[in-house]
Parts: sequence; structure tokens; C-alpha cells
Amino acid sequence: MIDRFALSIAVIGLVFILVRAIMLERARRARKLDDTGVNRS
Amino acid sequence: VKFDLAVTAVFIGLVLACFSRPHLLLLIYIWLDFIPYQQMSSGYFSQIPIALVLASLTMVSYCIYGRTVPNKFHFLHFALMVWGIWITATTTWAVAPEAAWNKWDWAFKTIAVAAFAPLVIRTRLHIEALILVMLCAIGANVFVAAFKTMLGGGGYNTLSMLLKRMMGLGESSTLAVVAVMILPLARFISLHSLIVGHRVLARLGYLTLLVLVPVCVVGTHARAGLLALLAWAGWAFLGLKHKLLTGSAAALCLYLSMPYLPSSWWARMGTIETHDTEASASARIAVWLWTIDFARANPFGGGFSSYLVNTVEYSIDPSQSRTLRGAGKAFHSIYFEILGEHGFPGIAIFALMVACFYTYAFRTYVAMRRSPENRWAADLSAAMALSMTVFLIGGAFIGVAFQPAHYLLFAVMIALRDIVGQERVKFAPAAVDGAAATKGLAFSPYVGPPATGGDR
Repeated sequence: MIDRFALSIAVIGLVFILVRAIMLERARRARKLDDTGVNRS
Repeated sequence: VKFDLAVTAVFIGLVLACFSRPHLLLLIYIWLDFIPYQQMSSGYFSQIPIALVLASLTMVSYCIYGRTVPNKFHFLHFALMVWGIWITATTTWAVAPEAAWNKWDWAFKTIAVAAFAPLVIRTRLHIEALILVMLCAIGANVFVAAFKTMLGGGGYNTLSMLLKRMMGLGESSTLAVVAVMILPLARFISLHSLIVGHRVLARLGYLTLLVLVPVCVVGTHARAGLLALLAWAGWAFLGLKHKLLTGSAAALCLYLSMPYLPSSWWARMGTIETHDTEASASARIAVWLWTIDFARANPFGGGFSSYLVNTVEYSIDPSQSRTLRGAGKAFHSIYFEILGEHGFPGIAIFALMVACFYTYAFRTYVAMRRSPENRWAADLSAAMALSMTVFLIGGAFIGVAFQPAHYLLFAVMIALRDIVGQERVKFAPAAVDGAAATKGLAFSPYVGPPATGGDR
């Protein structure tokens, strides 16, 4: 039971981290910055 | 089966969402490295070679989307690759070839992932995501061990942990040391996280780990864990602003918790002082002496698992009247593990990597500490240096030289050095006050997004 709970939290944590990372990257791309922070425009 | 189906659905969704982002695919792989769900599942998931699938997808994604700006040359990165080549070379002349190739299989993958990671971990956000994934995956293991300890299930080799196999974090001493290693990283996240977003949530996570990690260390009954915890506490104490206040509070907590520490834990910790009367500690010293002789006879190492050929005699009372004999006794120390398996060149390469790591950390800290905008880089390098120190102290008593945690620290340090070492970071502080905004540096990931931006 504890194992399953911890596993569920870990999966939810992974999803949260990846989704937040994608959101933040999209926000950064919307400002036309590349992966190293340089403005492309 | 229902849980397997749910996990499968989540993974398929994540892989589809992250396919154009190789760094995020790598994070899923790293998560699975710490929580190998395919080994835990009793259903169909155990039949899927998920690590292989993810590694292949990450490589494909990298080839299509990843190769943008080339990395700078970093000596640590080069040393890491040389290390991978050297451990492969020593395996070819291994004294126990079958066991050696079995260990090489996973050890080489660990190094390959660490060498590959800096190619895709290219921004502050990427670094933070990697650290958070480590915290999340290792934290789940810590949570299970700590919670079961609080319910009275602690004990050496009797604690039921998240991973049931005696490998990786399923081994109690390894879990104890790695658990302490994540504390400095958790503190960094609590101070500088962009991904968590809410500072209160990040601090709550750190405080939770501050409670769970010591409980986990006690529950595992690992002596290496206690030493790692003391190392962390000592270093962390030196960095405290309010030493007297926080030190007193910590001492009070320790005093109040003492009655709850099990007698079996006290008995096991007592063997640190009386190592000559305890079988496990005496055998360890005998193996270390054997390793030195073995390395003299085999200066280029005996390949992975070379301890299998040893036969040692050790005494379990000071008068040496009672002697035991053991064969195939493990190294129980990263230093002797490397010396016995990869010889003097191996220990030299490893020492070089560690020295490089600390040099990078020191230089980054010194360069960034006075800049409020780049303070995160200084704090991260300090946190990683402490984390590595904890590993080097705890690892002196367990054979975890090829576990992934410290190799990921190497990878993050290379990525961090790549970020702060670039020429334009010198202009980043100016970007904040707008002077360099026209140069496109105002929202640089080095300095983080602006306070009014959507990223926070």
C-alpha cells in the first residue's frame, strides 16, 4: 500500500516536472529565445 | 494490471509529449533508473524493455531535434569518456569475466548517460528539471523506507523498501547515502526553483526531506548513512546564517528523538568504534588489505567484480584467537572497488574527475556568488559540491562507484560549466537592469525570467 502510494506520487511528480518544463520552454520560445537564451529575432 | 495500464498510459503520453525534446526523454530514462518499474511490476510491464525503448527514442530525438549549438570542450567531460573506455578495457582482462561483463553492462550505461546528458541539458531549466526528477525518484524511495521505519519496520536487511532487489536503491546502505546526497540539491530547489513555481511548496518539500532522510538513514541501520549524515550536517552547519539558533534547535530535535531510536540501531552504530570485534567491519578491513596486494600484483586492475577471487581471513576479537575465513567478500568501498577493479590508472582517472568537479564548482561559485542574478549558479555549485562530499565520505564504506547519482552530478556540473562558461553570461547581470535588453539577454535562462514574466 505504501509502495503503491509512493510510486503514484513519483509518477505524478514526474508528470508535473515534465509538463511544467514544457510550459516554461514554450513561454521562452514565445519570446523568440533559443535554447541558449539568445534572441533569434 | 490496472496499475500497469495506468503507468503505461502515462508513459506513452509523456513520450509523445516529449518526443521533440530529447532532454525530457532523458529525464524519463533517469527516473526509471532510480525506480525501475519494469522490475517491480508483476504484470506485462515487466516484459517490456522500457529502458532500451527510451534510450533509443532519446537518441532518435537527439539526432532529429537536439543538435543545435555545439558544447564547449570540458576536461571533466573528456575524463568521463576516458573513464568509460578504461572500464571497458579492464573488463577485457577481467579475472572473473562473466561477472565482469554483467557489471560492465549496467556500469557502462550509467557512464554513457552521464556523458550524453550535457549534450541535451543546455539551460538552467533543463538542469533544474534533471535535479527535480532525481529528487522525485529518490524521494519516493526515501519516503517508503522512512514511513516503514516510523511504523516500526526498520532494521539492517529487514527494512522493506520500494525496490525489493538488492541492487541500486534497493540496497539499504546505498539508499542511506544517496538519500543524504539529495538534501543539498533539495535546498537549492527550495531557494531557486522556477519549475515548482511556488516558493512555499518548494520549501515544504525540502522540510519534508529534512525529516524523512534522517528517519530513512536510521531505518536502514547503515553506518555509511550515519557518516554521510554527519558530513552533511557539519558542512550545512558551517553555512548557516544563524548558527546558534538553528544549531540549538537541531540539537534539541536530536535530543528529543533519541529515546525513539531503536536499540538495534545503537548496537550497530556502536560497531563503528569496535570494528575489530564485528565480523562485517573486520571482513571489510581484511578485504581492503587484500585489495592493496591484489592491485600491486595487477596494477591495471582485475576487471569488474574482481573481489570474487579473494579469500580473506579476519579476526572478530582483539586477541585474534578466533579467526574466520571468507571468500568472494565484496570491496565495501568505492576507493578499493575502483583500485581492485580498474587498478592504479582507474583510481587516477576517478580522482581526476573528482578534482575537476570540485575545481569547476569552486570556480563557478567564486564567479557567480556576487551577482544576484546568477546567484542560482553559485548556490547550485555549492550544493553539488556538498552532495559529492557526502558521497565520497559515505562511499568510503560501500561499493557504489558505479551507481548513477554521482555520475549525474558530474553531468550537471559539466552542463552548468557550459552555461556559465559562455562568453555572453558575462553580460547577463547587465541584462536585468535593461542595459543589455536590446542584445536579447534580458530573459536569458542564466539569469532567469523577469519577475513579471509568465515563467514564474
